[in-house]
Amino acid sequence: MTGAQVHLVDLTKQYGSGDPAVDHIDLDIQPGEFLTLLGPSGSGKTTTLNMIVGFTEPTSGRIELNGKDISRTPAHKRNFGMVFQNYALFPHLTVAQNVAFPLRERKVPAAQTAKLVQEALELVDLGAMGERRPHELSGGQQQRVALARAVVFSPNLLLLDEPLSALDRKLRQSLQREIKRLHQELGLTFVFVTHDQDEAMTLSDRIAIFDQGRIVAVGTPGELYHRPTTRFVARFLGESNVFGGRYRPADVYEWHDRKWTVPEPGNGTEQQALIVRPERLRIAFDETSVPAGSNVAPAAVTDVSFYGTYYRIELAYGDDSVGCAVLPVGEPAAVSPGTRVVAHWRPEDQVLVSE
Amino acid sequence: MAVSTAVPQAPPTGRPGAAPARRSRPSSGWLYLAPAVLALVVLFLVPLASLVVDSFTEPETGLGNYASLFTDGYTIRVLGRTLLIALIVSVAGVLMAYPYAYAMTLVGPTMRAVLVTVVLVPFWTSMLARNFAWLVLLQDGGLVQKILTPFGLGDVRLLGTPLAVGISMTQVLLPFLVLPLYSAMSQIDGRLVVAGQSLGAPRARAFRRIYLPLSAPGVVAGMSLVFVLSLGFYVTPALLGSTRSAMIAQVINVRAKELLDFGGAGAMGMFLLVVTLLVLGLSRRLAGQNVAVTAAGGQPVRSGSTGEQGSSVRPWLRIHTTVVAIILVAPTLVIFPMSFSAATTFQFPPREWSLRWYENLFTSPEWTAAILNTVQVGIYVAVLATVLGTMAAFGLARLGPRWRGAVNGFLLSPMIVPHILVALVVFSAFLQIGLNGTLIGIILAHTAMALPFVVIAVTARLQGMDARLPAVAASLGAGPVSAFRRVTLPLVLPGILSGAVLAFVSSLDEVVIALFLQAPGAITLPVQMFNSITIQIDPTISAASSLMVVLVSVPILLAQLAGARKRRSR
Repeated sequence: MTGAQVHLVDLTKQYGSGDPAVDHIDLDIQPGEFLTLLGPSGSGKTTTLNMIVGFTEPTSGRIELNGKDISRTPAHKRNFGMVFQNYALFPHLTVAQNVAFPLRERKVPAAQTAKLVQEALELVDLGAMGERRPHELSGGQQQRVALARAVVFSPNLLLLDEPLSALDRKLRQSLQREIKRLHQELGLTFVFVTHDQDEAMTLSDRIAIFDQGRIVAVGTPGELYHRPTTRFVARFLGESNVFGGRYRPADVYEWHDRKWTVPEPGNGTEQQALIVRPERLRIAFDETSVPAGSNVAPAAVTDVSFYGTYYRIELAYGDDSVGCAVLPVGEPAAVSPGTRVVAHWRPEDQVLVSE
Repeated sequence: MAVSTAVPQAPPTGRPGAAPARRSRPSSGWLYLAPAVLALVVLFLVPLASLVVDSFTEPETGLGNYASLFTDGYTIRVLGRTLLIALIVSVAGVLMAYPYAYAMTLVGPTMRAVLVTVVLVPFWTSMLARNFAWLVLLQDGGLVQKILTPFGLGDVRLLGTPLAVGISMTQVLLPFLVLPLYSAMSQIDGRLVVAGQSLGAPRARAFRRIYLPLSAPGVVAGMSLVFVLSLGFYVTPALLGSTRSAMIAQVINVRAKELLDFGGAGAMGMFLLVVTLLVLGLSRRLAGQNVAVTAAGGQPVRSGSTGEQGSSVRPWLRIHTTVVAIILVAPTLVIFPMSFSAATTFQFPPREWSLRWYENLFTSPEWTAAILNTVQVGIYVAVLATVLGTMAAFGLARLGPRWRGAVNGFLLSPMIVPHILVALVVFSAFLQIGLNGTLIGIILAHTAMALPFVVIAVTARLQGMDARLPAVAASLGAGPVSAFRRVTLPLVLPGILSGAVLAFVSSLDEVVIALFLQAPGAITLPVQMFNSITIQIDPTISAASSLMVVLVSVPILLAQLAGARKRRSR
């Protein structure tokens, strides 16, 4: 099986009047990749997914599968597999009949159907469960049946609509691994919708971040985390220390009376926020012990929590900005709420983002 | 027989943003609805309108018919008596049903199943059979009089008095109170009362200030339903009352059938309809949208959410519950011994035994013809109502929320309109086009009456079904036809079947319309039973009653058992 290539071209969905649910988006989905659509609820990611699978007709724009326009092709002729949030197994059919459903639609001979169904069930470790009814299975097992059902007919593309959000944390992690393994074994193109940033980071080759019907950023998890382009992206993906100062081209960022070095200018405008990820932030007790060339911001510790492998230190910067740092356990964490400290970081560890 | 209060809620719309059920253009919904809506318009709305016109124009144009309701001196007393009896029946009913329903929430699952069955048995026992049983019990020299003799009340006449009418109506309508009350109470968290006690309220006051207000919507819903049903009661006052203490339905019957005074009967019918709508509207305002669908099929046999209340069933409650249970099942238990009596009177308990009445039931031409007619009518009604109602339920699901509530209300309206009014409307219309005295007329009228049962049963299944499943099937390669055949239909089928059974049963047991439309050659079993009491004293009715009880309740109890087993296996 090889993955399909899907292009979304200028795709728009408008319900009634008002702001479009999906607003002129363009997206290239590469063969075999694991692409995640990430965004807060109501940002248009599920509507986009529904347009790809064919449940929702786009208002304008088009969807291309391997270069062919399929915008008007009905869902049942697109040959895309889909996994739904609440499993959506057919309650009147057994597990095996559920998995056989798409094969019967495709008039696959009985003997081959039985073989394919058994293979698909074994792929998700449910080889012995074929005769059970969906309601006899746990949530995690039901979702694995749904996965088997969605891949058994060798679809061009597998779409997953928040498939893990109904499960508890432990199950979610084991199913994440299962989904990742399936992706590697099948070589299919996966399009995954979630609002959970950790899920998106662990699973994806690339992430497309949605906000108010638009795609505001596309990139690998690393790119998006380390080099976010907007404050929204930075905030949505991981935690940050955000400073709302002013960028003075070409190499100075002003924050109150501080002047910070900027090694690589941002997008050129003055209205930019400066962010530093928690693990890049260091903490000192006075400015004299800060390495030369670092950017420095005085802060007060507001909270210290112990996470087993690290301490998380919450900081307040005096001008209402808050942030945090992480300190490895073992380092002398002689800070407690109220301690005055100096936060500092290397200029190359900061990022300028537009508001 | 099963009737429900107003209009269950309109089905909710799907979760926005989630994979939508592929909703083709809303206009396709109207296509599915057209046959049922058209049938109701033709069979019911148009004749109703014409009757309204009659009430203002016959015999002369003006408000004369309405004025004479209040001025002829006779009618006003009938209206007052009817309202009073309805009020007494609903109050007495609540006093009996409230503790019973409360006890249902306290007992363990097995006892609860017993209590539910005790309520459902009379619910599904033929209306006529139960009234016949009360006639036997209350007659002069009957069991009730004998029980009262030691108290010096042995010569108090019961039969033919409003008291007998009230007793019988209360028993007949009791299930309509118990079921909504239990449904409302089972949603109350019993720990609230305990919480109230922990906050310093004595047990009785905690009950009064917490439990009573929370169960009030159920009381309002049940009472208004029973009040409305009582208003239009015909069979009970006709069999157990007398013409001197007539209720409104009896007078409508006389005016329309004997005097052919459609203006006068129409005005009385309108009065009935307006009071009905007022009471139901008021109860909806008071009890909220969510009340009381005592609908057939929708019995609230939930596994109790109120299991651990920490309070036991007090002795007085135990006694009350037992007495109510006996009253609920007693009539049904009278019928069977009666049917094996050898006497030619309605003597109970029988002194000698024989099978002569069963023999008569299955050999005398009039009884066999009636049985045949009933079964024939029932089958046609079941088929017609199921086809129209199923299509309508699918159509409803496709409508936008704005229209859905209104159309749903219209489709269910035959349930809230008093049967006597439906009978009157249909009778006056069919008289004009010559459908009176034909089985076709009865079939058509019963189909309109049975439609709501099918709509409710199928809609319930459609709502219970995950709305995304057809879309899921599409994503797996199923076209619209295949998705319907392989997913939607199998999932909705139980609703369709139970709708069909209910339609059949409702036709089987319907008396009032069939009485109006009867003619030699078009007499159904309930009509024959009715006539066998009022025209001749023919104990064959006891055999017929037993047969009806078995025919009606056995399939339904079986269905209930199957449902319970299925639930348990989950």
